[in-house]
Amino acid sequence: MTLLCVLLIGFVSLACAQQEIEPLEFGSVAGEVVDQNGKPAKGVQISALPMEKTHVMGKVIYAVSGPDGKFVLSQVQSGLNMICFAKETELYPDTRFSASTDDLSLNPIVKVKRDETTTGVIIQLGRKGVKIIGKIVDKRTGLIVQKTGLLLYWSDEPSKSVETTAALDGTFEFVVAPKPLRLEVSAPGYKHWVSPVILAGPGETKELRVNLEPVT
Amino acid sequence: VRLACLGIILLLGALLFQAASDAQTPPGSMGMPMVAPLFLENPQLSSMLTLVNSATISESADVVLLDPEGHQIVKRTITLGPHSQAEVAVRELLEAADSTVTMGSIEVNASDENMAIAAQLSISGQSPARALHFEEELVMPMAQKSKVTRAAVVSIAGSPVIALRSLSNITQRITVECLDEHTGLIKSMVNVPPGALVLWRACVNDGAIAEPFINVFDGDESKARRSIGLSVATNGAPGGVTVYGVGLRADDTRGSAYAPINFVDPAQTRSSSTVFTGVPVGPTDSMVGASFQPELAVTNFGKAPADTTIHYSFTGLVQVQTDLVAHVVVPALSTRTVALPDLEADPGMQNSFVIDSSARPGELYASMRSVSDATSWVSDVLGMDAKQSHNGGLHPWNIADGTSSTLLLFNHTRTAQAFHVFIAQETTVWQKNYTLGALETRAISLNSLVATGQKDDLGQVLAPYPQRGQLGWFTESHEKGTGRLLEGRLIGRLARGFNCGMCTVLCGASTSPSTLTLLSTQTGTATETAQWCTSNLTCPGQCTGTPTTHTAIDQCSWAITNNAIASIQGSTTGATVTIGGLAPGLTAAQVRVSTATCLFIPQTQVKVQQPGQLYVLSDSYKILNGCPNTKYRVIAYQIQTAGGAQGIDITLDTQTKETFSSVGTNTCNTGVKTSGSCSTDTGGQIHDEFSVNCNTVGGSCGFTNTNQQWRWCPSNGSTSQVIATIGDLVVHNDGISVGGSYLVYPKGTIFGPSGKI
Repeated sequence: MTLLCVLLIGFVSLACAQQEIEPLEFGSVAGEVVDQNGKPAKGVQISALPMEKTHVMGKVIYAVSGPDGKFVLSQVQSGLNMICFAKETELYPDTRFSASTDDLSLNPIVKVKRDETTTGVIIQLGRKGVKIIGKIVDKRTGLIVQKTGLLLYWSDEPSKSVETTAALDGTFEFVVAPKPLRLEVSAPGYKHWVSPVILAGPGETKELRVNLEPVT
Repeated sequence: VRLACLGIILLLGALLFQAASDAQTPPGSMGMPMVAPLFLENPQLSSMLTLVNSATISESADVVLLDPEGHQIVKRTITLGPHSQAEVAVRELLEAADSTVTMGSIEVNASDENMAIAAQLSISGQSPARALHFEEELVMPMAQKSKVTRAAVVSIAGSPVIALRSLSNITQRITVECLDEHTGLIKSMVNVPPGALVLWRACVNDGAIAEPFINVFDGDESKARRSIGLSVATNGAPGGVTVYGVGLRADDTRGSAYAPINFVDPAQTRSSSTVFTGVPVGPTDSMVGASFQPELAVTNFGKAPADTTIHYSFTGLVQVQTDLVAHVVVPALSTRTVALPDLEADPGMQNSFVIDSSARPGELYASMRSVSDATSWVSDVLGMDAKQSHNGGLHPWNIADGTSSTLLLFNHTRTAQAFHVFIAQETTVWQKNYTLGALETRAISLNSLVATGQKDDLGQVLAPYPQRGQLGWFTESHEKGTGRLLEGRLIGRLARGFNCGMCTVLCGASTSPSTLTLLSTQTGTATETAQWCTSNLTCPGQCTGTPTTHTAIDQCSWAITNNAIASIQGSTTGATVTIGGLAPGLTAAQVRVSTATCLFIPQTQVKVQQPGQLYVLSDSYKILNGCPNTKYRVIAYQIQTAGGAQGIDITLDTQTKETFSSVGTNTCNTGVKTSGSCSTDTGGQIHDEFSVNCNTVGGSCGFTNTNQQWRWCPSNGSTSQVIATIGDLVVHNDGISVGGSYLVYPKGTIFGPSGKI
């Protein structure tokens, strides 16, 4: 499995490095999403990540699986695509991103032709991710800290990361792969904060309270 | 009481009946379930009880046979599946109990207060050269209002025999009056012991006990054929005695033939009009080879002459023709046979009669029979009160072994009426709405429905099998129509009429969805569903009850409470309407669902929204799979209505696109392009991603697009509208600025048409 992932990532990297600029063409992908028991899974967001050509910047085109698990994703660039999925309400992180999955083999690779629909694509949901939630406050006053920077990453592979900021009410939320994690928080006027390693199993939610200490 | 064959049997009645049906104790004079006063089981005649369950679940009923002294012979619990029928052979029950009884009574008692069961007893057999058959309507004594019950019977010979079945724990003094067309009033009296069954020759001077030998109805040929009326009064409480009679219709070389005499409490008659629905007249399609001639008699039990008219309506291929076919003045306390002329008729039995009189309700009784002398085929037609409290019927149907089943409906009013018909076949409930014009009779052949695969209002068809089941019909309120089911069998020349009534009311209505959310240029639909209930206590019903499975079409009218916010497009009277959003706001689509007696006004809340701003759900830098060295930023927006912090999420699928004032050159040579066409945002969410993607240039290569704006694309094709101005996008390999910020925006940031709010 590991070997497969390495090969896959390498292939994608190579594909992304192509310099040839070709006119973009689009087709569609149709298939079904099933859960780990093979039963139809509804409400799953499906998207495509082009592997041969530069993908379109801008609005991400998603399809959502219906009650029977079926989906049709349109505006998929022609060529090889990695079909990714997400249902964060049930802790399935978006597999487009490196911090979201350690098993890229779950993302089917499909070839899409211009103005054609590639059918029969089966997506099987893997194990669930973990949810990290919390709130960032001033250690002394308990007030919400604004303009925070949050970096969540796999503790054993820091390049697999997500970088964001807390909401206006100081809260934050991540859904990522169930790996040992670490969270770093920074904010102007406060000492840098690094969490201990966060361990959570698939489907678990961990809540953190980040008390930032002002710089004296 | 004839209408009480509807077995809506109450738990209260069941409990009381438990005491009444005790084997050794004569029953008390209390409320009771259904009673068939007389069953016969001898070498010549057999009795068959037919039960029909209109409930959507299995139900059971106790069938109790009582001997002439009122002692219980046997009790058997009969379970009926949903919307099903069952036949119970009395002979089988007697054999199971090793009983040699040849006559007695039947009581039917339901186990569930919600049970809706109809029951009818058929007595049939074979004389030397003709089939014998007559129907006995079950009586519901608890519905009896007076101490009197009456009947009329057309054209019989000899003295009819009436079965007097006591439901009282005291000896009752019964007064019988026979209004003989030839000899006038013959009065007799008889004592009926508690719980006993007495057979009484009603039209001989001073009356006479009829011994229960096999041919109890034979042996009295002393009188020529004529019509009679019968009145039976008790000195006990109302419902203390139930009555059924049999007359000798014919006694010739082909053997004897009998006529049923079903009694009705005059206090339950609400009008002076009697309706005979779907009468075979002339050649009749479903009873091939027979040509029928109707016979009619009327009895005036009142003390003044009754001016009586007979109107006949037949429904031809193109129109209904109604004629006054007879007019007779019936003297007080007398019976008259009414001569009917030759009548033009519909071979499909779409022929009905209405008998109107000047007598008070419950004073003039009519009896009708249609006879085919050539084939000895006879169809007894039960008269119905034009203002009967029931508004529907509940019948079995059977098309097996060459049997025909025809539902006959008659609109006896002067305006068009809707008849809702539902036919149950195992789990399928075929349902269709028929509109009958004034005085129109409609024959609905079950055989034809099945053979032609006719679709109902829901697109369903009846399967070839099973070939029997239960059916019902109803009008939107009582007094609007009558109906019966005629079962014809070529073998044996049987014509069984099923007449049980039921009460069905509009008992609720709902709309779906409960809230319809629309964008201001969108349309959506709302649907109304009426609920119909079978009343289990009173008739006419009270607009309440337990909903049934059928979804009859009803009268409905839709309206929007605020037409500035939304409007109805197209028809406003259908079950489903199309609603178009006009302007942001909240309104309601109300629908008036009504019958003549019940009204419900459910509503669907209509919420019209218009995109006006974007709310940041998340903004983060992530590492795209396969592209670890290039910055990638993605912002998720929720489309909202305008209003800043008070904006409301629009979770409908919405179409948007992005535009720029200028698009810069990409120095990373990755050919990044933007998506500038309208596309759908599922759930009203936009995920906007920014990256130059994998490249070999590296460093700070990238591009700048100025003045990013998000536009809503209205579904009606009108010009797109700006809902959010984000600002310039500076997208480089090593950094991404959106709207002037390399830092991600916190959740809750709002962008409006003029920029960040």
